[in-house]
Amino acid sequence: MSFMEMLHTLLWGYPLPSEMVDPRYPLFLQQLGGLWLALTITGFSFLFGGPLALVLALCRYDRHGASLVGQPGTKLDRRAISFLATAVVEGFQSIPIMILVLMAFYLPFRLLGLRLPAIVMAVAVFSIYNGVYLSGIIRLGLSAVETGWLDAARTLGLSTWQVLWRIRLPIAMRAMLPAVLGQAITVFKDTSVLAVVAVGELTYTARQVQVSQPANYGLLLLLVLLIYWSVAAAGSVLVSRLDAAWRKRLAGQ
Amino acid sequence: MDFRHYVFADPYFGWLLRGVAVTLLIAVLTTAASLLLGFMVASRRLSRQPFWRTAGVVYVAVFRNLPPLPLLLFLLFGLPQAFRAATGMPLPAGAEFPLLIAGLSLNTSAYLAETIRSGVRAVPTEQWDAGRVLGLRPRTVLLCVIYPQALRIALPALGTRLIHNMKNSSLALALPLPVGCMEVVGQAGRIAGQTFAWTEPLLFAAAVYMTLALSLGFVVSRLSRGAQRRVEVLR
Amino acid sequence: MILRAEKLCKKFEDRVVLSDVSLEIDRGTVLALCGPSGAGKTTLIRILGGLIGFDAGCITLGDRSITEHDAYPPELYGQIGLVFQDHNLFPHMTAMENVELALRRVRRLGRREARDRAMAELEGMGLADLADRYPYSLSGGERQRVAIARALAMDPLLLLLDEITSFLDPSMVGEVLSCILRLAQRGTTMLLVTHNLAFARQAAGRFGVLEGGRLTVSDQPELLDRLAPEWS
Repeated sequence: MSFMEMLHTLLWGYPLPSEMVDPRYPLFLQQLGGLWLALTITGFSFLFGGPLALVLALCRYDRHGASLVGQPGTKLDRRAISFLATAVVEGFQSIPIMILVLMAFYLPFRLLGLRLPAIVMAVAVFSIYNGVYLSGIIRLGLSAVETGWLDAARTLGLSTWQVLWRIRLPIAMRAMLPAVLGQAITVFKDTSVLAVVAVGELTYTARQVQVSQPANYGLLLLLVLLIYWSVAAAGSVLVSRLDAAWRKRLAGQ
Repeated sequence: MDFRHYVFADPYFGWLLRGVAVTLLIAVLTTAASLLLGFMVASRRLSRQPFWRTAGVVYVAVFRNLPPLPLLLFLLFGLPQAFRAATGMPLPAGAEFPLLIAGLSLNTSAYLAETIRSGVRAVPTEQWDAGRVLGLRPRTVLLCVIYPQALRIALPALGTRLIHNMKNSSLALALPLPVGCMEVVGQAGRIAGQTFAWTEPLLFAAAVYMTLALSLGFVVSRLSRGAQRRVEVLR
Repeated sequence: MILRAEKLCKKFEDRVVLSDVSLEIDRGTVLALCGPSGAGKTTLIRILGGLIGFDAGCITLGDRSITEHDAYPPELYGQIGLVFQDHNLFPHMTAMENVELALRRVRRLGRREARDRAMAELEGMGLADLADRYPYSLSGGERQRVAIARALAMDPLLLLLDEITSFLDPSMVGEVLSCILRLAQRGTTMLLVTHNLAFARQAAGRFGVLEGGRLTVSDQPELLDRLAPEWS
């Protein structure tokens, strides 16, 4: 196997044998592998985890104990919801991603008899994992929006949801963007854990190649590290650029 | 669910307890190593000499952007291969555990260095001036005036990263460690290998990590509340 | 009669900020409200604008009456315009979008209609050229004028102005004050909180002094004189 062939395999992975493809789920997802699969899972974890994160964040009170939606609520159910959301977030954050991945692959079948393709499980577990961490970022971002803007929006007659959707979220979004991108880099790096459950992303692909190329394992792993590093470093540069741009803009304010 | 047979049964529970001990050992060793490394790198990054500053930047840029699991795989599979190619000898036996500690510490220290540096940057520059005016040498100012304050400012972020570091010990599952050096998820896997029951030992491991992370989180938030107050008094 | 407040009281925890404050504002008149810092002027404005509640008393705005037990009627937001000390322009929207927002989302005007209306307000404030600028690239005076246009666009019954020049550079105060003066001449109903006594005399027909949680109102500008030595 030449160097270029190895690189190509790491980027694209091994095609899934056709008898293992489940026709009920998107074909391209199941046949994807290597770096692209790692990136795709990261992408999907934002697609599904983003809304989850927003809901979790809105359920919780902000740092000062005020509701993030509308008027400060004192009703018991509001507090119960906030408590529940906090428990979900703290609970998932306290379990290592390695265990979350293993649980996602062994628990549904054992408890519910549910057998899903590996890629579906991978997307599911990373969506939850990402959603839980993102919700913290969103919550911080939302509570950092100055009340002056919210007051101004209210005196103009905007409803609670309009204030949230048109004023609070967009302002928070710009401030959160660096942190969200940083989170994307973290998730991307964490997809490497999927190698232990044989999802054919970058790290697992290296193991697969190693079977036929045992003498090249060291080189393969070095290549893998280089690939991860380039993507993550490019992301980090982008993050610091955005951060600087945002600071500059706030300073002009 | 059958915890009685797969978790609280004779050899298995002993394995799991041993795993918990190893998890704690890994956490303590990597915390110490990465704090030490982190401080060293942070002070390099704050140094006046461009060479050391660049070295600090490169260290952080390299290890912060490498995912820990592939890094560990490289250290435990790739490195021995290179060692053998160079010397013709295999890596000495028992090198796996130190390599695991090294890999995790390299990763965490890069984050810590960054956190410590931003903590130092957050200390008002007047504190520097005040120290220098008293005739203290720059190193003394850094050690006795700046770092204590920076640490208090950075404590929440440091704590979060160290908890993350503790959770990272579960990555050892994917590594070829001797049975005695396996942490709790590894031991859970060992039980699964014998009984084909993953669920129960896995849930036990999850509970262990949850307990550790939540109680550490509680300690950190308590500590940082006190520390924050003291820094505010200083201002 | 556009606004009548009767015997308003407001406490923050145990501190009484307003005790027994009553005032009236007629259509087309301007009331200037002065008083030392911390006298509760901003609190009064925030109560009238519906941002905080009050502990006792009654407010009549247009044809709606509110007591301390009622929630502020949602349809009053927007009809009572408020311009803040700190402009509070939405930082992610251009001047035009700031003015347009409530016209489209609250008044439900069409895109064209809202745009024309917003443009007219911006032109009225002399800001037509700056319509597509973001707040961060505007000067302090320009920002405050956009904020006034934003409140005016909703065609409010009453405009509340809360020390709108106190955060501005002295060089920019003039342009904002002259805008307010023009509004006063056009017959805009306003409640004007200001530290600038000379300006208060010029713009307002009636005067109020808020001190120690109590409000004195008079038609005579001499009322302001007794404040002058201490804090102007």
